[in-house]
Amino acid sequence: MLIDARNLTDRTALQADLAIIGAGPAGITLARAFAHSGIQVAVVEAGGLDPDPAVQALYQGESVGIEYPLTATRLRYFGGSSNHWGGYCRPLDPIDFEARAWVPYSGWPFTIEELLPYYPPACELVQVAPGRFDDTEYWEAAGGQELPAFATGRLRPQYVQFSPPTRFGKRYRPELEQSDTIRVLLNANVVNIGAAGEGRTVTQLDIRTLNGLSHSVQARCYVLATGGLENARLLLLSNAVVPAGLGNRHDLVGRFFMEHPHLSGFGEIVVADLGRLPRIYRERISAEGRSAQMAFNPTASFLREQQLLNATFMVGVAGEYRTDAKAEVGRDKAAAHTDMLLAARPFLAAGEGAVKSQDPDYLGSWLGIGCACEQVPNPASRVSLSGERDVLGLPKMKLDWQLTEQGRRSLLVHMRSLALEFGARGMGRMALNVEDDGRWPEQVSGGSHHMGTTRMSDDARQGVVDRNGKVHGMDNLYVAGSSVFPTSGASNPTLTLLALTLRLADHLKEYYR
Amino acid sequence: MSTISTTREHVILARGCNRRSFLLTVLAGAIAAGFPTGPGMANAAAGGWPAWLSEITGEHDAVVRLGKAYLAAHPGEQDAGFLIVAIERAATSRLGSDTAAGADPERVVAALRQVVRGEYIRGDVVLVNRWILSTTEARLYGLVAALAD
Repeated sequence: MLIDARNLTDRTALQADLAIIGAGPAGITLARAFAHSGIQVAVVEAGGLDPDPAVQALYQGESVGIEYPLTATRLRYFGGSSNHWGGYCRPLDPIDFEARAWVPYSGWPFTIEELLPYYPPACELVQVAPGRFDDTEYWEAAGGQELPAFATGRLRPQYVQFSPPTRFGKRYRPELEQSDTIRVLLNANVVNIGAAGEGRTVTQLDIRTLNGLSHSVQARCYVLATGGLENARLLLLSNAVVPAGLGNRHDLVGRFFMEHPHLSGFGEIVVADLGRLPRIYRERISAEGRSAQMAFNPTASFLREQQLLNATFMVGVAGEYRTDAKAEVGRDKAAAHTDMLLAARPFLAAGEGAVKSQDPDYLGSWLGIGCACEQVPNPASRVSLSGERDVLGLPKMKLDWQLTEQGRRSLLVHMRSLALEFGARGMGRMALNVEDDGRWPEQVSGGSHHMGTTRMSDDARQGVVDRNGKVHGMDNLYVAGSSVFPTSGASNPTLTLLALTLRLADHLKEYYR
Repeated sequence: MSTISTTREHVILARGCNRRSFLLTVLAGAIAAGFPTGPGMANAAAGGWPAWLSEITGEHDAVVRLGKAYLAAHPGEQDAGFLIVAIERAATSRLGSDTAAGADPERVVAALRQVVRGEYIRGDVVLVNRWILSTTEARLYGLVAALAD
């Protein structure tokens, strides 16, 4: 059932067994998991069914570190940020869960085996056929092309699969609308998580609407699922009982904010013979309902040996060169590319004749490179409350995104690895456009992946939530979503946050049994 | 590399020499130093190209532009003799019992392909105009540029 909080009688008090704050991928998934359980679920969503600038403006805040767009990287309406999700799916790597001596604050409370049962149903949620993320033989058969072994031992192939992408609000709305046990309260902004017992027990959610109404929701158990930035903000501003904010006795809420640093234009690769670059290396191919492209990921042995952070690279054809014309990139860059293609031709193509018999003027192509790398967990990279207030009177968010030299050095090594792999296999030559000057390049940006601000640990002094997502020191408040990730890996977080949410659902079902 | 000091001596010797006499001096120095020398170097000394060089490098002008950038960044390697010695030495390492100096040019080319591949695998690379290139590949371009002067 969908309910617009703006149309309720002022001071309506809703009762439920389980209250979920946020109707994004995590919130909707958790609610659906209880659809036939007899548990009464209330989902409290700040937005409506469609985007609304006035609602979206509530995401405004201060960015005081590396420039970060707080409103453009998330969406405040039904379906949440799945409404602009790119659909990239890949599980985290086993090494991502490990406590690595060279990565400060690393280590999840469990290994990847704990999540393996949950990845297949998470794939189904996003309309991706399960598995085959590292199955080269499968993709060889699917693409009808041999996928030669990697040469350098530094990198390995992984297969990123693509969701359509699933818009959770659109896809799962009918199910939620028709449910007798799930009520979705729209346009309902949680302005305080009320607590008693010195902050141990949540007693109710205080709700305000933009048309001036106040409501409340009471439940036995509460799950915060508003995304990796807002989860921290809501805990921090719920400070009536615990001045530092709920769950923040050890000053951890909001700290360890992580992104996947992206660097656009950090390099290019030129390729004389695309026949040497299997199609799945450079574009998506489809098989049995799957759509996938290969990603270049560091091997675990190389990460250990060199003490590096994880990373993911993908390439795609950005333009082509002909002997009778320059490509569309700037003249200097085009000249550099064509020089390299002409000079290295004996290494990059067989014989002296045309690579494409049907196109004798074809000289080669250039590839753009996308990268996303792991960020070092860093307590100084944090969400806190701003002195400014929003239209509901709540403190806005202040984000101080910080990256470290360790992450930069690691990324440079991986960029070099990509060049070595292309060089060793005679596939191409790579130019690097970033200076090794000890500073992160100005074009560094995020991938709208908000992680780490309520990190998970068995130790209350190291994490905000425990291995089950329950806030340390509290009886009935849980957190869902990528804010619980202790480390980020280099995979897009959606699939893993869904797997964690399904695991949380199993845990909560035990709670209600 | 052990050849660097020898090269510096050659650079000093080169002052006041014309290119041909310089290359002959390099050849003599290389022989004295026990480095492999052969047709490639002899050709260079005679003003010609090593027979394998054209087979392993692409379009001349493009190669020269990259090669000049390499030489500018590696002033200790500006003479063709040094580069030939270094390249043939690398090729010899892949030719088993033969030396590149005496081998068929096609075999030298095949060996150099293996050398370049091996350098990429090992990470034995240099930056040339922002391109990440195997050391020997860059030297090949440098050699063409040096001979083109």
